[in-house]
Amino acid sequence: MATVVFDHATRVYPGAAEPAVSELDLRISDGEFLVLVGPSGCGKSTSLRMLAGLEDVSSGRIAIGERDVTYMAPKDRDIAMVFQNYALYPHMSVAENMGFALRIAGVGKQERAARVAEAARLLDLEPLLDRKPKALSGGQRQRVAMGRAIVRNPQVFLMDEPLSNLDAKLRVQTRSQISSLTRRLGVTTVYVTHDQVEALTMGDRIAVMRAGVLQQLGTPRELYNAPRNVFVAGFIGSPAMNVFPARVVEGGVQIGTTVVAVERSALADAGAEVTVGVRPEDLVAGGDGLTVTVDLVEELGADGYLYAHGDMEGRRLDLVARVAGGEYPQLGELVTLAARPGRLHVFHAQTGERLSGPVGPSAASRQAAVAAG
Amino acid sequence: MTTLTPRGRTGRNSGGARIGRPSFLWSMPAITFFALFAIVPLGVVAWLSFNSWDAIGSPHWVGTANWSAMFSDPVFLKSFRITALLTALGIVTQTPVSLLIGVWAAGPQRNRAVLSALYFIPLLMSSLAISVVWVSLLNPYFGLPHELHAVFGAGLFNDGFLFSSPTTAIGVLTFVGMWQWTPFHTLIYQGGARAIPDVLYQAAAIDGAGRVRQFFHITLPQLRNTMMTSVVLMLVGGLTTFDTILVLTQGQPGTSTTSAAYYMYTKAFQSFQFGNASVIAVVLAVFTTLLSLIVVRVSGWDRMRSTQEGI
Repeated sequence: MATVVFDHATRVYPGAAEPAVSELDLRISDGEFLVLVGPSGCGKSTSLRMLAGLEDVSSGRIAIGERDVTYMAPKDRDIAMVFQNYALYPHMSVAENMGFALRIAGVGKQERAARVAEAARLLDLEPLLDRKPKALSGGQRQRVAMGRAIVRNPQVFLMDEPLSNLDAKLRVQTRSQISSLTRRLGVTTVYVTHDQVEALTMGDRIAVMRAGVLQQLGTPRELYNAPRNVFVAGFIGSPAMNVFPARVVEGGVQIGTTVVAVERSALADAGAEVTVGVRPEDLVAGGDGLTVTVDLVEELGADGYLYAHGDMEGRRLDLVARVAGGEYPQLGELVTLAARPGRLHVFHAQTGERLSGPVGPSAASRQAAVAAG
Repeated sequence: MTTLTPRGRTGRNSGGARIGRPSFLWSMPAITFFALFAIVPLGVVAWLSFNSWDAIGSPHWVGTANWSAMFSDPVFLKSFRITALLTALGIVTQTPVSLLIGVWAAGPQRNRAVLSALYFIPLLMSSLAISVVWVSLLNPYFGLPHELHAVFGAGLFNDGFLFSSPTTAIGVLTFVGMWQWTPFHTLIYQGGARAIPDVLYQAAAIDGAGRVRQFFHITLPQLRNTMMTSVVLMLVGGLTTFDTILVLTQGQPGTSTTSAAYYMYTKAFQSFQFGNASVIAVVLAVFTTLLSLIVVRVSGWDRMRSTQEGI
């Protein structure tokens, strides 16, 4: 158990013009579950592998606890890693796989067996201890990979998309198992995923990366309610936030027939146009607003999502709105959509940086955050 | 258009004929070759082993006389012991060397690729050429033993007269065999080592294993099938070694390097006792087949599985 510090850690691959990870600054507290999330090629896996010692650090430093590990071999870092494809040793039984690190560390046979048995009990692997990996299902292999990590009792767990090879149902189930297990053990965990739902549901804090650069670091709620830029706004949340350009007018921004109020100070250096964002649950039907044509309704039971398109100042605009169950409009029907007061996210049109937005979560998004957290 | 229709139909028919299983005819070239160069000679040799023939005139039937003569010939029995010894020494010396160099050469470094390319040169040379070179190099009067007298004269190597003592003669054959064949087996191990997924080494490194432990706990178990392939090839190659012995030692001193294959050659082409030579040939063929079957059974090669299943 330890803190983890990335201090301006940079990784440039030989021959590459742009760094794969650029000046990453992260301070992960003891026992924290931190999720690194972003699209493919954003540098999240590279960051994790830098922490593991599998990638060189080009500049900057990385520390685990008090120890500077920047140039330390992986074997000396006291970390355990769960790989995307698990990387179980095919020629060893489950028990041997789990006990391998202990065997290397010179732990006696009896203690080794005891610790493997303990981990196997935690993960429901007891009946499988004598099997070879090839005789295991995907979910069982995943648990063995977890077991191999926890047997070590390491300072940090590193997990590189450990759920991406599982089917959807098992993924949800394993997600909560990993969350509760790491918290019970109190081990600092760095978890890489491209799936923002995994990030929101598992992380104490989330670091969103894009093109090697950290975009925002915060709790799931902070990221959801106050995305620092357009990229984070669009990446976190499903369906994604509606993001579109809007004209700045006296007192706010013009959306369809309505002017949505935005404080003057926020728009001071915004120019004539801004990028605005509205979460699907913050769009309400009826009253004033933008008239749109319904293209598709996704019914999910308790609620549903309405996919529609409208015309805003000559440009086609596609929107997603959440509607309560039983209030579904017909396909092709004309509906008027408007943002709930105070629920508009405003970003700079050129830089994409956040200018203003809701201060606290709305009733609807608070529900979403509770469900997620 | 009407003229095109029948032609189109013919095309379809010939196309249709090609779709089914290939006819027996397609395997004829291979079967002809195998029959002509393996089965027929084997049959002729088996028949010859019951005849007396000196390559001139026609063979005449002598029953089991050749067989009883050979099995009471001490050189014949000894030649199989020597064959077994040379084969075992070949496997024992070549396996560790080619394994280590192969695993080393499997690394991605460019200097390793260059050195490996140089190292593989003996693969391109014929056994005879290699043997001729080594006969000169190891000549006690003007070869290496003379130049490096401090090493070869120290008493360990029969004062540099390497071909004159049974032990050093066997040593020379083993050494030249190693020089000639390790590049080939290195290539096999290099291929095997390159196929081991990197992620296993990464997992092992994180589990605390250094390079030596990674070699013993990951590389070696993962190369199990590769090792079996290499050993079977060494076994078959070792049992039939002939050309290096012919050039290097001619089975001497005495008969202490006379392998079964070489003894067969002397019986046939020096003593012109083709009947006796055929007995050796048949025994050697049976012996090799049995040994291969045993290896396949013992190693589980017949039900071999990928070493990467379950990764």
